Amino acid sequence: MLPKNRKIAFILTIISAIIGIMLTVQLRSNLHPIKAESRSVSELRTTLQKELEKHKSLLADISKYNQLFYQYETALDTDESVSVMKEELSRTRRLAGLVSVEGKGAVIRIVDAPPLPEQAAVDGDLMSGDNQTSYQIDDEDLRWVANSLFANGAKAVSLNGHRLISTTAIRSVGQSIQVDTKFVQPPYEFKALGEPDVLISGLKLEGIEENFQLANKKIVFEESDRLVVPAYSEQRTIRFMKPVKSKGDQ
Amino acid sequence: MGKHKFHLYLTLVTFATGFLMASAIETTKFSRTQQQNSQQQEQETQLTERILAEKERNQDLEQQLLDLQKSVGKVEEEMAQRQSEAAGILDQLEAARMLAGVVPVEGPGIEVTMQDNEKASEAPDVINYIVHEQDVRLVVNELRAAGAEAISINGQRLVSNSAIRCVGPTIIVNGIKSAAPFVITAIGDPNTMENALNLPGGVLQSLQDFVQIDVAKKDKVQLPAFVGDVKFETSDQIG
Repeated sequence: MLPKNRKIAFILTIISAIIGIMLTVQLRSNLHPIKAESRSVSELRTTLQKELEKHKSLLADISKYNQLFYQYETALDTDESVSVMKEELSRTRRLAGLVSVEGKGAVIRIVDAPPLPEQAAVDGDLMSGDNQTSYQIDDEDLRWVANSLFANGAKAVSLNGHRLISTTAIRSVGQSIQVDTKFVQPPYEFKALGEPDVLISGLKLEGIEENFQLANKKIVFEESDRLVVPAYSEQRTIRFMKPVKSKGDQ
Repeated sequence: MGKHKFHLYLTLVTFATGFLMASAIETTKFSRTQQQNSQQQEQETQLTERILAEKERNQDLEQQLLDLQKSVGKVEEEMAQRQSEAAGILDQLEAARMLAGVVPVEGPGIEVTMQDNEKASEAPDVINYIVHEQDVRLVVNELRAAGAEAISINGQRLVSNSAIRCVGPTIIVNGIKSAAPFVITAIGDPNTMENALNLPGGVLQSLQDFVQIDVAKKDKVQLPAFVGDVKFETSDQIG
């Protein structure tokens, strides 16, 4: 009788202890949910980092203009200051994309994909008749590629030999695609100056290959150590914009 | 009878003990998370303060840069007045600077404001009623085709290697994030640009049903300069 009684007491003890603990834990966790706030911290960090980067580039720009100013001031004669001005002009033209540039980069070609043998067998009748009417590459596809290249750090990009600058439009006109005023025909070829592996892996990550598979196209990537991206070749006259001159000190 | 009482007491006592133990453990844990939370909060305030300070400093620097550009411009103009060759170069230089986006510009233009449709949250196909990056690109592209000379999005000047990205409800231009509404400002012929957007079957018509898009012609808009680091190494240049 006694051992059995002890056993019951023992079991009772353990069970009630467990119940007690469980109850408390439940109560506590319901009362004080742990707040997840680490996300906002990391967001703030990125914002700060962006500001710091901006700070750095501002300083760089300031020192650039300081140097220019100093060069103008210390020029011995007009010839020298004119040559300083010419240098500044060629530097600015490079920024604007009016000068061809050379460096490391990647070439991205959008070419017709050879039909895979087994695929052709499976959806043979699907592909054969539809090929002409199947999805065509449109202007947004090309804009998307250019945008992705810039987003992955491309410094200069050309499409079929036409340099893309700040005012370049890529648009469908009828059946063909126009880059500014020039028509471009397939196969489309992008040349982008930048870190080749970053550019290529960036495009792959965004699904460029899958995207163009819809149009039955294949993407050929090529890295290059010496890539030439041509200068913007169209003639543009500026009619509407002018530099902001502040009112105070005219 | 006595035994039953004993059992009852035992149950109560052990129950209480368990309660106390768990409570003690939880309390220490809770105070720790609280500590973490307050640490996090402290971190947040610190970061926010640093961001604000940095922004202020950047504003000062921007002003400094503008002043510097102005004094450089003055020297250049003086040179241009003295020498005809310098005058010719200065014209080219100013054009190149405006095109490169390194100086603030002003002129007549147009302002396009895009934001998510108000009905977006109620619509079953929400995705159709929010502004996507391709919508912004479409408008920008149309403006460019209509002869826009300079464009900015939410105060970020588009330069020769700008990318337009959307992440969630924010847009990233030149690596700078900003929230809706997206304001696209362009300098050019206001009428040409407005007509281009309004073409039948054009941009406005195809977007209007889905997102909220407003177009306003302006006599004068100002676009800021691009501040950033399009850095070409000197060896990059060949021509």
